[in-house]
Amino acid sequence: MDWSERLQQIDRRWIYLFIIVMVSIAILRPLGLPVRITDTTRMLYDHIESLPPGSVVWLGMEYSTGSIAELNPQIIAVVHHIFKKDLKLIVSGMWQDGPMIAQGLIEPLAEKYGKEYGVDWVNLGFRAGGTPYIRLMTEDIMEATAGVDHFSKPLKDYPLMQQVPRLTKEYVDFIIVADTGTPGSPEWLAYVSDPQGIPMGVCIIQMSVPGMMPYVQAGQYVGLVPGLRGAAEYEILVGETGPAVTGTDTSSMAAILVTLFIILGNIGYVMSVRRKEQE
Amino acid sequence: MILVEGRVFQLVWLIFFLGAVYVMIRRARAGLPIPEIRKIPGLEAIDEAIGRATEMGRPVHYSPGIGSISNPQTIASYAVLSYVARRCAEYDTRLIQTNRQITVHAVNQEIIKQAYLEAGRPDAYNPDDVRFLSTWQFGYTSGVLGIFQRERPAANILFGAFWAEAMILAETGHHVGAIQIGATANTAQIPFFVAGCDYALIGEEMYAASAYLSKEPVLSGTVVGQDIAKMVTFAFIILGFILEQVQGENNWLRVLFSK
Amino acid sequence: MRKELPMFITAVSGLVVVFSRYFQLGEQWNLTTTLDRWSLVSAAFAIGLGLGNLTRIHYRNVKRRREHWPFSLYLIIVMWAYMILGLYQDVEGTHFRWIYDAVLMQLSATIYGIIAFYISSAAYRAFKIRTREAAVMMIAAVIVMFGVAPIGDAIWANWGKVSDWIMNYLNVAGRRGILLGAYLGSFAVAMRIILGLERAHLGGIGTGTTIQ
Repeated sequence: MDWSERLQQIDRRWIYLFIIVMVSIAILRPLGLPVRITDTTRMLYDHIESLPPGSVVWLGMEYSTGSIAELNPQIIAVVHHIFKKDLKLIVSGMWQDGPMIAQGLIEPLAEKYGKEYGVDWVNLGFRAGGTPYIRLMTEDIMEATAGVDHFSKPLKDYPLMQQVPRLTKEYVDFIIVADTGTPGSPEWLAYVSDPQGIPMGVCIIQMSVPGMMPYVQAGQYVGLVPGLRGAAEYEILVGETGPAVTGTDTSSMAAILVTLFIILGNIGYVMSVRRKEQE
Repeated sequence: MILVEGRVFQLVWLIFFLGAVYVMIRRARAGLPIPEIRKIPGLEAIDEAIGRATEMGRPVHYSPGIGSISNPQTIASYAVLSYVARRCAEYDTRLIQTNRQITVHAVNQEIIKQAYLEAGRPDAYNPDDVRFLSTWQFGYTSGVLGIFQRERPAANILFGAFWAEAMILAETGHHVGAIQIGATANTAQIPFFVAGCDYALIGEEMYAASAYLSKEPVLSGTVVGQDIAKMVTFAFIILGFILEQVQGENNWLRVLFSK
Repeated sequence: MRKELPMFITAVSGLVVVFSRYFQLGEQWNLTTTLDRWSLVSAAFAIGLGLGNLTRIHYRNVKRRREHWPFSLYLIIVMWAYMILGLYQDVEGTHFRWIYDAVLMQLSATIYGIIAFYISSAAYRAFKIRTREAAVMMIAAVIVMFGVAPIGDAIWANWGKVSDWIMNYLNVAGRRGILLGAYLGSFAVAMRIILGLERAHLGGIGTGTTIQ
C-alpha cells in the first residue's frame, strides 16, 4: 500500500484513539478560550429577563438520558435564571426520562434559592400519548395529568396548580422546550405555543441547531440555546459558570482533530488522482 | 360565521390541494397522461441491495426509524417495508426488522406477514425476526448495533424518522460492509445519511416511495397533485417577498393569509 | 372487513379533525379533545403491550435455548425487577432513582457520546474533494465546525460571524426548501390514507393490487 492509499485508509480505531486523547486533554487541562455569546442565546436570556416576578414559565423536558451532557447544563443555567428572577416553574414531559432528569436538576437549585415545591414550582411528570397530552393540557391540566404530579400526589393540593388550571396564555407566560427529537419543540409550537399565543424558546443539542434555525428566523422561537456552547454562554450570562464553560474546549480540540484527518484524507486523494493521471 | 376566524384561508388551501390531487387521480384513472415521477436512485437501489444480500447469503436489516406510529415518516415507511418484505420473500432472503415503538412493531408484523403471504411464501415468515428492541432511544440503538455485529446484514435499509442514532447506525452498517440506503425527512440527520450511506433519500422523496414502488397511476396522481401545490406555494413565496418590499408588512397577501 | 373497518375509522377520524379545526360548530363540540383522550388511554396501554411482547419473545428464546438465551433471561429478570421496584417505591424512591442515575443515565449518555467518534470517522471518509460541490460542502463544514467551537473566534475574530452567516442564510434557505417539500409530502401521505388510497399499514403495498 503506497502513501496515497495509506492516508485515505487510516484505521478508524486510530481516529477514535486520537479523539479520546485530545478530548481528555481538553477536559483535564482546559484551554480557557473565551466564549462569544451568540445572538439566539442572548435573545432567550433577554426574554426571561423581561418577565415580571411571579410570571409562570413552563418547561417541556422532551429528551432522554442520552443528551444529558449537552442539555443538563443548559437546564441548570436557565433554572438558575428563572429562580433568580422569582418566576414560577412548571415541568412536564412527553418523554419518560425528561421529568426524572428535571427532578434531579431542579431540586437542589430550588433548595439553594429557597423555593417551595407546589408553591414556586411543580413537576407534573411523564404522561404517555405525546402531542394529545400537551394539547389536552390547553383544555384542562387536571384531566390530562389524571390530577397527579410526578410523585403521584394530587395537584389540587398545590397553590401553583390552583393558579394554573390550563396551559393557555391567560395562565402561562413563557414556554421553554428542551428537546432532542419527536415529540419535541415543533409539536409544542404547532399545538400549544402558536394556537395559544404563548411565546416559546428552545434548549437543544448542537446537532439540531441547523434544523431549528428557520423557526428562530421566522420569529416562532424567541430564542435558542445551542448545545454545550449555548449552555456555557447562558452560564456566563446568568453569572453561574459551571461545567459547560470548561466543556466547550473539548469541541475546539475535536474540531482541530477532525479537520486534520480530513486534510490527510484529501492529501491522499489528490496524490492518488495525480498518480492515476500520470499513469 | 360558519368557519373559524383566522383559518378560512387554510381551509381554502386544503380544498385546493385536495382538488389538485383529485384531478390528477381522475386523469390517472381515465388513462390520461400524467407526469411521471423522476428516477429516485435510493429506491431503485433497494432491489440491488436485496439481490446482493441474497448472493452473499446474509440478511437484510430494515428500520422504520424511531418515530411514533402517527409520524408521517413512519407511515411513509410502511410501503417501503411491504416492498422490501415481499422482495425478500421472493428471493428467500432473511429479513430482520427492528422497532423502537411497540405500536409500530405490531403494524410491521402484520405488513411483513401479509407480504410473505402475497409472495406465496407464508412458511418463510419468521415472527422472531420482527423485533421490538426497546422504547429507549439508545437502548434500541445498542440493540441494532448488536444485531449488526452478530448477524452482519449485507443490506441495511433505514427508512423513517431518525435522530441522534442516524450516524451510529449508518457508520456501524458501513463497518460491517452493508450496502446502505438511508431516508429521512429530519433535516438535521440528512447530512449524516448522505455521509454514511451509499444512497440517501432527502425529505419529500421518501413520501413518494409508495407511488414510486407500486407504479400505480392513482398513487402517482397524488404525488403530481402535491407537486402542483408546491409550485403554487413557491409562487406565493415569491409574490409575498415582492409585496413585502413594495407594500410593507400590511400587504394584501398577508391580510388574505390571516383570514 | 379486516381492511375496510380500519379504513373507515381512519377516514372518519380525519374528517372529525378537519371539521373541528375549520368549522365553528366542530370547535364548540370539541371533538378533537375527545380523540385526544382516547389517544392518551391507548398510548398508556401500548406500554403494557410492549412489556408483554418483550416478555413473550424472550421467554420463547429461553424456553427453546436459542443462541444467546442467557441474555434473554437477563433481560426478563432486569425488566420485571425494575418495574416491580418502581411500583413498590415510586419513581423517586431511593433505590429506583439510584439505578436510574447510576446505570441508565450513564449507559445512554455513553451510547450518545459514541456519535463523536462516528462523526469523526464518517467526516474523514466522506469529505473528499471529488467534485466542486463536495469541496464547497467540505469547506462549509470546516468553517461551521470551527465557528461553533471557541477556537474559531480565537483564530480570527470574525470566524463566528462567517459561520453564523452560513448557518443563518445558506443553511436556512436549503432547509426551508426541504421542510416545505417534506410537509407537503407528509400532507399528501395523510390524504392518501384518509382517502383509503394507501393501505400499506394494513398489509400490502399501495392499494395492494400491483407490485413492480
